[in-house]
Amino acid sequence: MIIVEDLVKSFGPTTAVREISFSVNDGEIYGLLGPNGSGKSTTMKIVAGIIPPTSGKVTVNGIDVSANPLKVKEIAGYIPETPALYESLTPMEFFSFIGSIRRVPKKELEERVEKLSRAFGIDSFLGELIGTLSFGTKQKVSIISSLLHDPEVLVLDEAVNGLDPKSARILKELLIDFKKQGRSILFSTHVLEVAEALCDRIGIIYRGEIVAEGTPKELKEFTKEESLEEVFLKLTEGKGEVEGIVKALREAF
Amino acid sequence: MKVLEVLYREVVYRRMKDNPRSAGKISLGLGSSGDLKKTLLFQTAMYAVFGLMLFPSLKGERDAVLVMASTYAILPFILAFYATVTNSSYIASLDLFKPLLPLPIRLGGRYMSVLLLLESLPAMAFMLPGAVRIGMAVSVASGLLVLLWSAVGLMLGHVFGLLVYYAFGKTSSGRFADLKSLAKALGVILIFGLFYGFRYFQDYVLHNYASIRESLGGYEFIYPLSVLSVDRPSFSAPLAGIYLVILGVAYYVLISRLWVRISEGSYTSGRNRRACGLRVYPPELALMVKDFKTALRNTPVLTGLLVPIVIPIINVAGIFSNPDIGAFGGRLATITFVAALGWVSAVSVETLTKIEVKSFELLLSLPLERGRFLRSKLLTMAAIPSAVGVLALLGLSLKGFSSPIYLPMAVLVPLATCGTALQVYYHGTEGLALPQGGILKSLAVLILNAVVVGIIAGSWYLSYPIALLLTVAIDALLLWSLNR
Ligand SMILES: Nc1ncnc2c1ncn2[C@@H]1O[C@H](COP(=O)(O)OP(=O)(O)OP(=O)(O)O)[C@@H](O)[C@H]1O
Ligand SMILES: [Mg+2]
Repeated sequence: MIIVEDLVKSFGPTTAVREISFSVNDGEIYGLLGPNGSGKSTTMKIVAGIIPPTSGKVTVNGIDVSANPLKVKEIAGYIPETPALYESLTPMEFFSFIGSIRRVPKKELEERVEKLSRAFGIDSFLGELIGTLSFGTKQKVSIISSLLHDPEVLVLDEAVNGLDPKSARILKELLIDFKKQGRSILFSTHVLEVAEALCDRIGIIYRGEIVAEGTPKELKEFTKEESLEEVFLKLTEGKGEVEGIVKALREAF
Repeated sequence: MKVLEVLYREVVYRRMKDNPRSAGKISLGLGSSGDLKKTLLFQTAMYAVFGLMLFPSLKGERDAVLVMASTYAILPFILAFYATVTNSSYIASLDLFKPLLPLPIRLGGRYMSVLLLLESLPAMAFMLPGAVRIGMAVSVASGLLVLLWSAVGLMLGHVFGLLVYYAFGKTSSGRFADLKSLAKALGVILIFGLFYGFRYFQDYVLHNYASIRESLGGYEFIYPLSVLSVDRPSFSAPLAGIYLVILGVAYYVLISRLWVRISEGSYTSGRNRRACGLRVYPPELALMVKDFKTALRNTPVLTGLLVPIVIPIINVAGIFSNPDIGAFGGRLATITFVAALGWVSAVSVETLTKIEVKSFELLLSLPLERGRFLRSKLLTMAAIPSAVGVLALLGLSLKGFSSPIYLPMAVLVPLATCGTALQVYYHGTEGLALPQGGILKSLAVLILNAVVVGIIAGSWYLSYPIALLLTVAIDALLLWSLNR
């Protein structure tokens, strides 16, 4: 269970997140959608205990993130929007490193690494240096490393980004399994079909504020729109604008 | 120039960005420390002061002054070499040049080169007081030539450093890759050691400069001995010219190749490292293993860790070659060696903190306490000098120059100095942080550690048990304070 209450985050003069509140229940996938720069990643970093909030309160399974970020990091799995890995280690060594820091018993670690690398098809890369891997493969290493400690809560920032269709599918199925086991999952993406298929509830965030929240169905009914794309454009003031912008662009080229 | 300013700001910014606590202050703080000109000016002033401090030893007869200047002239070489080798792979790893790659830029390698040179350029100011002194004692032309030669030294070190990066800067993989990069690093250190060893001439030189001038006269075309020739501008200036032409050609060839290397990204040599099984360690050890693996696969990083201890090793080699040193002399030599080892080993703090820059967000997402992190960094820093110290003391004891009872100091003293260095670098940070390095902090580390080492050596000279107790107390204090 993730509870975000009146969360504010400022970077000096810019306020990235303005008093947002939402919660992700146990056994729920909550999708954060929003245009570039709307504050998704900032919110997720705060939830994962990586950066401190300016004000407001975030609790993850009852633990206050500001008061006890280490405890939250222990139970959370976080996937950053761009993989942060040690490029001169091999994936195997990298997993050993993560497992050691997180104190995962060796048996469990071995089993998870084996199963996950087979599932994501990276078992033939386990001995290559991470620096030489392709972007998608790095993303897979990042995903696997965030799951090694069997996290109770998952914070996934554009995790399907860069994955091939098969791996994206596997990740989605895995997340659905996790959800069924009662874990809370906070998920952000720009791929609206993924959001619609995967998320139980969606929060649309715009300029640091949540402007609408609900199941995909509720959002469509509420805005009287046909597709999630239309909902998104309408709520983030993109609709109407798009046509004008496209027209102006045609003139420029 | 615009490109350079942007790149420089970027290097400074990268380090600040990932610091969660300083995030709010970035745009303000970057103002001065990201400003190239101000930083350069400040560093130049620092080096000039440093040069001024050594200035008094530039006295005596004209020949003596020249000989001294030629030994000081190694400093620009060493600084440029060290800065280039240790910073090149760091800068390349930041993907700093990625935005430039799609642009139609010819010789983009020069940006990397100049960025690296900037760190060592102020070191020329170090020679300024000496040049003035020679300008007054010999002739103005000679003074200017000293400066010209220190520029040659700077370029020489820089080109050497680029060559090392170009030849060894890739991350190596495959069988025996670790051994290979160790061998490479040792090769680099050998070059460095040769030049450094030259500095040990200084004392000897000062007493025998007249005969030295004569016997070395034939080698005056070799840098840094070539500085001896500044009193004959008609010989010295063309010689410097030849140096610069050769360096210029080598430089041009290198930086055009460098751009290819940079565009390939973190280029890796060798393939198919064996996928060995998972290994689980306690967190501190896991961090250490990670750091050492990174270093072993990256010659420039490894060089950065190993170079500082070359100096005391040369020192201890000197003891071995001096059989009639006696028990008292042996004890004194042991104390000097351990003190020097401790003093210089803390220099690796700069290299070590840079390893984390690129993947810092990863560390932040892990449940890793600050104390644990710093403790592991301390162990990583102290490991190499301690090992060297223990081996050297064992060797000295076998030869009867030292005693095994001093062994603990070979570990305790590096711990104290490395701990002090970490304390200085991480001062004012909270939680996991990427400390800002820079010349001010490096100087603070050197000065503070000179005090630490001075106190330990002084008390050791009087009474070993007291020194031992004192060092243990310092270590305990540092561990406690790093753990907070
Ligand atoms: N370290 C920082 N310093 C200053 N401003 C920042 C920092 N990080 C984020 N911001 C600002 O906060 C706002 C929200 O950024 P954030 O990365 O959360 O957006 P996002 O919704 O994840 O966007 P995207 O879809 O592009 O990933 C932006 O205006 C951004 O400029
Ligand atoms: Mg984002």
